[in-house]
Amino acid sequence: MSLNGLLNTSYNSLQGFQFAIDLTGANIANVNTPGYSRQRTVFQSEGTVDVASVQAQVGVQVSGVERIYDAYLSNQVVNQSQMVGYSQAKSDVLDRIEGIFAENGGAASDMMNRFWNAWSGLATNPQGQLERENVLAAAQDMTAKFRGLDSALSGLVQDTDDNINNTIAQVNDYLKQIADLNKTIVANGAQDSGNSNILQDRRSELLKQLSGLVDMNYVEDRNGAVNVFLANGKPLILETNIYSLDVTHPNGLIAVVYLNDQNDNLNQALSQGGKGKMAALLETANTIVPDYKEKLNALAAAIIAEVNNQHQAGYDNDGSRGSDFFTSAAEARNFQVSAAVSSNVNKIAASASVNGDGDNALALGAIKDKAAMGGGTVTINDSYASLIGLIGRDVVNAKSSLDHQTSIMDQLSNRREATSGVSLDEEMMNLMKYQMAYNASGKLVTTANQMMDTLMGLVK
Amino acid sequence: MVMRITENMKFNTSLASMANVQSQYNSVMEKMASLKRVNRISDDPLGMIQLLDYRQGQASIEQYQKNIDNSSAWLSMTETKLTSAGDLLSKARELAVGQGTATATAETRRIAADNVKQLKEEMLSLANSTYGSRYLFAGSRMAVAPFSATSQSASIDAPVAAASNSFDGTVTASGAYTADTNKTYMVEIVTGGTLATATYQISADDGKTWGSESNPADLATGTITLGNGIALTFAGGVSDLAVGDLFRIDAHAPGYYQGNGADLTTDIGRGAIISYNISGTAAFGGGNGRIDVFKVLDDLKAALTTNDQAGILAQLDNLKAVNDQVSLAASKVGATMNRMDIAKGNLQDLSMQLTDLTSKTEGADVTSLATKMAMQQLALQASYATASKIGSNTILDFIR
Repeated sequence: MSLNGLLNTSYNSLQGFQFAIDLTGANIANVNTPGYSRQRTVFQSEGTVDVASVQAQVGVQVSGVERIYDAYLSNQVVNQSQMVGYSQAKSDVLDRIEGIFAENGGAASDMMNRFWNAWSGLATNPQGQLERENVLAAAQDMTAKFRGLDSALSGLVQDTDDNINNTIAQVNDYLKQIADLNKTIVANGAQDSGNSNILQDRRSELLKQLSGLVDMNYVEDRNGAVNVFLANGKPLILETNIYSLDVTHPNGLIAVVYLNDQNDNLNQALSQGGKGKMAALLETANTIVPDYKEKLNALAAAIIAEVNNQHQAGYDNDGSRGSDFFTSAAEARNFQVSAAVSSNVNKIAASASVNGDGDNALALGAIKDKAAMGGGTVTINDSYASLIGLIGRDVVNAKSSLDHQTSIMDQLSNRREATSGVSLDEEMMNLMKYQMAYNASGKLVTTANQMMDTLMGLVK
Repeated sequence: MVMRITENMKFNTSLASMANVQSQYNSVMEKMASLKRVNRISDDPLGMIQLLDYRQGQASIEQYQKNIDNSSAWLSMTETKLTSAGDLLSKARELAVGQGTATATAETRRIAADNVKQLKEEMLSLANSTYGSRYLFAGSRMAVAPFSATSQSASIDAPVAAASNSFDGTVTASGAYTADTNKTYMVEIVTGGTLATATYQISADDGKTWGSESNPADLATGTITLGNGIALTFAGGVSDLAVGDLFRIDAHAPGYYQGNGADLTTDIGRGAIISYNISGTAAFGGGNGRIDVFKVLDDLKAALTTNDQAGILAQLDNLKAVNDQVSLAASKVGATMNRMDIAKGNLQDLSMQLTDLTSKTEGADVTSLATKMAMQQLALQASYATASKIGSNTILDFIR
């Protein structure tokens, strides 16, 4: 072995250990980077030993950089982030609905109680203008509350629509980024020794983000590109081709479609599994809110029908037959006191006879105890109470589901961290290890130098 | 294999547990601040349903109590008036007894007649008393004073067409009213058209219940009979009769009473509808075989004026009878007031029960909350303490 060879070996090991220290530096730098997988220098010994000719030239070379990564775990994280995305979005929406129906002062139930009781109050003084105004005011407050609830729910659908548009834009952005990464990773080659590590981390993180938004699956093909599909097998990304999404509004509902095929309704594929934020948003706009609205409409329609029916059976203060008290309507948004009554309280038919008794007002107030809804099984107020109960249960379910899914996600994230995360203690140990080796290699150079000096001294 | 623990795991775990404790702490704080266990629907959906039921019950009770207060005021006013009426009748009786003896002269009887006249005027103002703007003894006919100063003969008012009617011809009533109580008749057109084709229905109880629909040709002559001697004649008009055209005919029996004696009702509990008025006929007579107070006083005055001793004595029994009649009405008022009082007591009990149930359902148990709060505080401090230790135990502390 020549001294030059020794110098060469020292040079290689110095370079190798510096590389390892650089990589340790990279790990430390990315200790807080989401989705970063720690990397490890892979050393490989090289050279030959020939005892016969007293030759030993064994050095070291960096053969690659390993990305410590568990594909199975990563898949689970992607899957779980779909569940969390769905639960989170649904819980947010139901929280808002709970706020809309909040049972504090001035809630719809209070308004309804006031309305029924105003009739009872009118019965004790059927000609009283004050009592008549009181009935009108209570009716106007109640109808305004119903219209307010309806418009708040409509506003929620509108917000959800905006949210869906933003989410679609985000999805399309992710698709483009993933496809771009696919392109570079494929260009680097499947047998890449570490150049693609960072890109793969970024792509994993993007896939995780994307999975929180839509229900999707992905497979990595042999070239290293990931292909992303919707739950029904339709593509989002094939190698470097992306299939962007768009939003349309058929029949007042919200539908997610392909940008290039506006007739292919993807709602079913996106929402059937109850995964991803988009599923929750579509469910909100197309099912949850319309269901609550329908219940509200049924309540308004029942009040309108019952009150109008009884009101027409009575006589107003001028001795005419009662007309419609509420404008005839089937929706909460059109719930209002008829113009005839609101412009003249004497048109309120409080009396059961053409003379001024209060019996019809009594009958109107008694509607509160009448099983007027659910096919004659529940009162109007009870029906409202069960709507409130339903909302409460939905909120509770959504919250506990969110808690559950989040805790699973935390667990999975921890397991992913345990495998791929950066431990500073470990990096410190590595740093010391590589530094000591570097120092030793440096000592080797000094030694070789002294040996060279010794050799030169012999010649002198 | 030993699990690798990374920096992120330590921070994330610590953060998650801190957030968890904080949210529980916050929830306890909210309950503590409001002293309510149920602050939002999702705190207890089932409890919220019950609460809504309790609140509806509570609101109804408040209204029932208001109704009781209102009608009690009406009742005590009625009682006062009836007591005064009783006093007036006693005075009239004293006069009759005094002037019915042989010692009385035409002069004393003339003075007594003046007294009786004043008594009758006072009686009239009592019988026409109002509560607010409503006559106490009119029944549901509030438009006119329930008692007139002089006895009226039987009459039928001119028919009143409702403002919304299409028919613009004339409607006249004729005949002699034969019933002994005042009534309001209603005629409503069921099928519109000319007199020859239109049909109608009649109500004899001011529009509450209706008779059967007439035959198509019944109106052809233009005249229909309503019963009790009333006939109604339709004539002329450019516009035909239309569905819902309404005509009102008030008929008066002979006597002083102008009201209709209908019950005025209020609800003082769920389904508990109670009548709180005394009809003018029950107290002061007129129809239904009762003795008319004003007729007795008028007759007494006439007998005194004409110095008719037998006539004066003849009114003594009548005076006793009307006094009994007024007392009976007053005792009915007393009974109703008792009922109101009992109902009010019951409502108060019910209200207290509901308040109790409400606070059981939504009220917070302060003792357990305070304990919980202390526990959460401890947990919060522990998680802060743990978090502060994360950075302090690394290998960095030991390498130079």
